[in-house]
Amino acid sequence: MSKQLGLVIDLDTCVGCHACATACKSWNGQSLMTGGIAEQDPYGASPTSPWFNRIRHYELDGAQGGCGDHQPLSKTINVPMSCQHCVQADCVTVCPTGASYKRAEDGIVMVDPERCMGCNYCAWACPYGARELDEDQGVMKKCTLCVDRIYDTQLPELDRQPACVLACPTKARHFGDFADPLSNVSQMVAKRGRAEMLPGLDYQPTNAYLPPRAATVKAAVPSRLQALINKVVSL
Amino acid sequence: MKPAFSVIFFTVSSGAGLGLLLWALLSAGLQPASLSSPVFLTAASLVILGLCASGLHLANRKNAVLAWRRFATSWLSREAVFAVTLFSWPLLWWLLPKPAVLALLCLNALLVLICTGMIYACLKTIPRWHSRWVPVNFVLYAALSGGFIYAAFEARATGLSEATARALFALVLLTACCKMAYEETVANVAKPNLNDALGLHAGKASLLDVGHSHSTFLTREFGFAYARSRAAALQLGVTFGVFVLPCVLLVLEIHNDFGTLGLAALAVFIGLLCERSLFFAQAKHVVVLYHGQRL
Repeated sequence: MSKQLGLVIDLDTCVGCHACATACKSWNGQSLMTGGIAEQDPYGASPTSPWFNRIRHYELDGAQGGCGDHQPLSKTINVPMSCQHCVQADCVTVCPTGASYKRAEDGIVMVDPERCMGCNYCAWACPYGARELDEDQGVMKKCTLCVDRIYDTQLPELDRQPACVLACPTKARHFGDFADPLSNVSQMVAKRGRAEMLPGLDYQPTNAYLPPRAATVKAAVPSRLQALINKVVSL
Repeated sequence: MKPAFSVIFFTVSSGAGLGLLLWALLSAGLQPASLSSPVFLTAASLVILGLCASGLHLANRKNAVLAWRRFATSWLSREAVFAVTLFSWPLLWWLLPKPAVLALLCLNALLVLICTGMIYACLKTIPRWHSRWVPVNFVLYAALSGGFIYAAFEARATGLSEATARALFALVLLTACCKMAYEETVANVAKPNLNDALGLHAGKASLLDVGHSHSTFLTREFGFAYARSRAAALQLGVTFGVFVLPCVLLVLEIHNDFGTLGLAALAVFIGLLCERSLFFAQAKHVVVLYHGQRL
């Protein structure tokens, strides 16, 4: 059976430090697989370059959302986003040259720089902003799930994971096979569910975001004592 | 979406060329006589000029020859294939009956226009483009711009016929109706918000920090928007250039000569350049949700 490789990102534990993005840039910037990542004006006034992973920071205001024995879910949420290696990858089907493809054996979505004509059409088709044009080479660049790490038998087995996963200091990122229901990633998703990003578009992302959990309310004083205090106060 | 001038010029120029071809062939009843005129040369020049312009927006042009490899799934590939086959029908000139070759040419021209529209309409990521009206309007705009060029040539050769004038007038009205139907449809389509984009519904989501300090490919490609005054000026260009001015010139019937109708054709062409610029600039890609913008 073919694999379906991808990442689990825990939105409860991600602290938004951008270590995954810099580790990604460090590995893929020298990767023969991606052909490097060109930077424009890197030390100048307006540096720019493709990133395969971008981290954005949001606020969730759950002031009205609390219920029962749960605290309202109000918190900062850091969301790293890279290619989701979607099951229904429109970026692949819209590509006119066949440069964009999804590997049958493990579901990784890749770009062949030898065939890409730099028309940007795949980037238009991606809802998650996962594809960025390398303006020096004129070809589209994206996350390869570190395909040149995860199968490298010269590396110790623990290191055969994407660079972003290895770099994460809070272990918010996990790599595994979603086609195997017993894998680490499948088990995590079974337990926590996943935050479905833009489900209306039906791209069926492989990567899973574990939604933040609401903290349960712990009473500061036993309820009977609280009732007594309330009674005294209201006298 | 960033309006790339090469793509805007390509769709308008090729559209006008293909529209002109359809008018010339259909109004002559698919008779080969329609081919020997300067009309055909003008149509071919507009199409070829457009196709050359379309190559300019490619960042890696040497691989453009691979663009017809994915006919089965990609509308862009289909457009590339049909744009090439368009020029192959004359090769069958002596093999098939001539009206049959011309009918195939017509069908091919129509297919190119539909493919161009579907390139945009098939994208689920851009709500303003994901509509069946998009290919319909691409075909109608092409027929409209080609129609006025055809009318100008007809006025020079034999004088503008009543039938052509009426058909053209009806086409302007039909295009205006379809444009309004399109605007109505895309205005009422349900648009996702940041909560949908994050898949989190426990509270209202808002952007704290976008994570980049300077412009990125994503902000340049998808974050583009005209200033309101510029958009209003372009909208005025569409209304007057495509609909009002050509109609007035047509209805007045005072100067139905080559010059006046040529002016009308030019007005439509420029109006459509404005229309296509707005088509891009007003379209918002869902990725802007992650940058804290609304659709």
